[in-house]
Amino acid sequence: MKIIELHLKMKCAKNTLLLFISLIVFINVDANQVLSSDKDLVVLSGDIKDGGSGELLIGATVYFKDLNTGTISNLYGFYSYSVKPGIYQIDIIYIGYKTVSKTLEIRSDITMDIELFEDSRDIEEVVVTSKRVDAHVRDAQMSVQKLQNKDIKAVPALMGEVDVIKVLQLMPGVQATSEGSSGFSVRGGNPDQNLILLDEATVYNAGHMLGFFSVFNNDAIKDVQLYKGDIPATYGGRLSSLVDVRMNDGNNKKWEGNGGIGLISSRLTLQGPIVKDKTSIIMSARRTYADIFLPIIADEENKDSKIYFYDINAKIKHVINNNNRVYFSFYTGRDIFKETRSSIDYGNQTFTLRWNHVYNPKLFSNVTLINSNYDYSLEANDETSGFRWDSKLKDFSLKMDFNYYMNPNNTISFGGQTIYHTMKPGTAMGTGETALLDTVVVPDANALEHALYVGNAQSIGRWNLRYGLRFSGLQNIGEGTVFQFDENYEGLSKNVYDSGDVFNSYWGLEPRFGLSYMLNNSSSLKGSYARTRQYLHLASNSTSGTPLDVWFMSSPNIEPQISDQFSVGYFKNLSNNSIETSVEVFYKDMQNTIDFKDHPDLLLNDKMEGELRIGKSWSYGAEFLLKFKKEKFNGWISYTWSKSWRKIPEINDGNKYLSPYSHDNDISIVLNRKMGKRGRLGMNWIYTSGAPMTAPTGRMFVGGDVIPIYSSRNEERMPNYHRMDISYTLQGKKNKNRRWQGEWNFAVYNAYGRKNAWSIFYEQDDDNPYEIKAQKTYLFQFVPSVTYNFKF
Amino acid sequence: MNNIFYRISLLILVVMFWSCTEEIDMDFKSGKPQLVVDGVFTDQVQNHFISLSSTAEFLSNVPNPPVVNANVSLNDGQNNIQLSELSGLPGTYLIPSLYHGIYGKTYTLSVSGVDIDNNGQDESYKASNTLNLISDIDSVGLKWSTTQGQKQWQVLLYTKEPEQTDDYYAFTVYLNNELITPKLSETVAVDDRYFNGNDVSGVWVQSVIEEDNDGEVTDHVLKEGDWVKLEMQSINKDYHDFIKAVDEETGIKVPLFSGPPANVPTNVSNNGRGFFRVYSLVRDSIQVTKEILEER
Repeated sequence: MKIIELHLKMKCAKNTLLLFISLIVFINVDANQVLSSDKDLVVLSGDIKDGGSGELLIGATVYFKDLNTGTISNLYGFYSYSVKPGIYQIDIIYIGYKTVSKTLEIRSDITMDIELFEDSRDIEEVVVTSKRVDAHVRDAQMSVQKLQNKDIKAVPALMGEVDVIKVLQLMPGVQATSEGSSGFSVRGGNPDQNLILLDEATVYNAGHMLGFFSVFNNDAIKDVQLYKGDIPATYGGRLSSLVDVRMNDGNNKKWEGNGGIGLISSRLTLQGPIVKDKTSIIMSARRTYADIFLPIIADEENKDSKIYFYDINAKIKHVINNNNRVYFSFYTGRDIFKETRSSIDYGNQTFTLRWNHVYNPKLFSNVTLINSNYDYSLEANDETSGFRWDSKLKDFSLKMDFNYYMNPNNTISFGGQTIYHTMKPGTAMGTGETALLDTVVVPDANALEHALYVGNAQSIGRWNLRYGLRFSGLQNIGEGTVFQFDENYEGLSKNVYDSGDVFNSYWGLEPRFGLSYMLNNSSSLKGSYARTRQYLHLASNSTSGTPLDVWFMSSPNIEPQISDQFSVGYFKNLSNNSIETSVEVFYKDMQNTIDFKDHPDLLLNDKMEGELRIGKSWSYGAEFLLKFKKEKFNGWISYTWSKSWRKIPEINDGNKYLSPYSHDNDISIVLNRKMGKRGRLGMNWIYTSGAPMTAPTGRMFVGGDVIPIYSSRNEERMPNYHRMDISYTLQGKKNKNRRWQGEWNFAVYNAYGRKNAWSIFYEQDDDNPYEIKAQKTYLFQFVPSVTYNFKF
Repeated sequence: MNNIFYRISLLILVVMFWSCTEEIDMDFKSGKPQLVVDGVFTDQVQNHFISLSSTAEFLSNVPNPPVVNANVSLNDGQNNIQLSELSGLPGTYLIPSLYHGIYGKTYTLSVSGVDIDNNGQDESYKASNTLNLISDIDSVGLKWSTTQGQKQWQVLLYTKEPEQTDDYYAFTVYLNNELITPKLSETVAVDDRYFNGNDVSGVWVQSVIEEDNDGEVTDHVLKEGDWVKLEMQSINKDYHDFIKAVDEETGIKVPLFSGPPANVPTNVSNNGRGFFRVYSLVRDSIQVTKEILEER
């Protein structure tokens, strides 16, 4: 009976999707007939590249002056635009690059690759042309933040480790989960609700060193986009956000290198052509050496301890011909901690193989094969009671994406993806001479995650629309073990399914809709609605990321999480587009929110599902952003006010409570100023309302211990958090004859040394067992660093 | 396992040398007073005590007020006995030694005739727990270990673990008949997940710490001729979870590995707190010899 229902549901969803696709086509056919026939139009298409390195540029604008409109290059640097035959003045614009102006006579379809050259002046000196098509205001896409390698580098960093995730955390609506953590919460969501992609491969744990540094080596990164909720239909699988990180393709014109020597790590990147203009390769590596200090600072016990991490990024791009390109990207990173009696090591590994194909000037496609891995192991070396614990997670995925540049007013994207997930949540076994302890295995889980999508970006006069539909689903497949739980969450019996059995499925539609209305040339109103579904969840109830992540899938016991988000915003550019401002308001409603019972047993527990409590959550807030790019001065100021609530029947007596990521007020100020010819000063200041915490309202004395009694969950607040970071960068003297270019970066994290509480706990006095003292632990009080970066 | 997390994160922070701890001034709200039951009942022929107190302000820093003149009784399903309050120890009620726990029986403690919330009406409370069977300790071993600056004797257990049942155990340790792990947070609670049905031969279950993490020498430095006694308690899952929760709520919290603070569970009804602990226990000792001490 249930199976029939499922099939019907699925069929119904598929039909809706088909209906939607035909609707898009019909609307457009209709519109075309009214406006002008497609037949009269000719297409200008091609790639936009960096002239110096051949690197494809994402999001560069091709602007038709006479038409006062244009298009932007896609994620692979490809652009396509249909116009009536004629002579056109075209500007190709990309921030930080010299604008190229061309007069073109377009009589038939033309393929034209465009090379832009980096402006020798610094990014802040670029005078932005007033005629530029301004995506910030015009685009129907809202709640998106774009960053490039350079922007990231300009922000002062902890221990000089330039870090994209730390910069994202300074954007409105994004907050670090705790001091120095690379975990983040977007619009009150959980850290596991962010889809982090590195060249389209999912990165399951984006943190090194227990999260204090992210896995992204900035030297290997070209472009980062963060979608805070208005996620395009192309992507899905997580509720709150998408962080799309794209790696550099490598210089296909000449060999070059760059790197840096820092306080705790060194980096080196080499890139160049294997076959000029055809095949390029880039390799970046980074390794920390904090453990070299161990013999100096650690006691006898810890001298032989190991603490380090490394990353390797590599990418090969090969241009087969004008219409075919392939890319192979690889990332591996590992953290290793080892002390006398225990060790942890963990890491991510991703492989991506992509093939770009241009069927015709209007149809672009990309086929991607992806493999993502995350694994960790924990070992306690004790002669008798030692044990080793391993956990693995593996994804294989095939993804197909098409961009169809139908006519100047419609760009349709469609495609699909299937991911095969395999999880080995944990195997623990006794080690040591006698291996006293048994092997404990939490059963494997396997699933297929599917998605089909179609979307359109359409402009009608002052209106820009972006709408799409995504149909997604998860199929749990054998071998698998599913426990039945009673009303008290006690595991009763279990069903074991054979290999290949599909024993449970979830299907659902995810509509996405966005629009913008141009009030005038410099301001617009935007609105968006997005539904997202999430089938993979993280079992972690700490507010700070840990390497011992246990991911689990939706199953007969756990329904997928669903979010509906509504946002509206006002966008205005000032002073010739050199100042961008925006105000956005959002409301997010989430179903099947997962939280954990008090004192849950999440590690190595085969009945882990019994520790979960399911309810709903919602968040709302307002985000203000002022971003400016002046000749000597750039940066942004962001302010967010938000609240995020949960209501789960078995938690907090069923009363609503604040999510641990609900910070009322959040201010970030990021400034970057040119100082003289060679110097640059960076400064940021961060203020966040204290995170919600559960505080004691009493004590009891049982079994010799003073035990705190707590009131409602997350009713109180930690002290407010604020800090200022400062950096100064001094470039070496410019000498055209010398290939080597160096620069020094001096930075101070938490410059005024505020002791921000990282954790609060209560300690019993040694002498008087009745006396309790509240203690706080704080990290990173005034951390200076120096880094030398070079290029050759 | 939590201990490993704590040590590893500590090590990382030491290396990054930027972590400090200091006292913080905080205001705490106060809740309504509630009854707290702190009592043990075992299969041993000995006096057992139940102490009743009421909750107090978090920073009150004095013993919690005892609950006196309560009507306290213990029921085993057939018999009901009244407990009398000790005259010298207000709030402490005695289960006389002629009455002791028997395997398989569920014991219910009833408290009535008290008005904890001062609303002029008396409340009554109940707390139940079942006594489980226990297998014998074959023998006890000692092994010297130095880790993380902590110098200690690992107390090793040798026994045969029953296979048919999911069992839970708690361990405490005595030195020359003095309990050196008097607090619940020092009691080690384990389930048999890793050794169900095994011949357990030398699993580390408790410690005699000679030098603590801060490098301070304790009062428990072993000498030749000393007796180290291991007590193994067969407990049920509820009590196991209670000990684990007490351990979490009284130790240092590292945000990386600790969840949000939460109330420890209770088996006291009617919004009471604390735990009425019922278990069977066995003890076995080892005498410290020259050979053992040579390991040090």
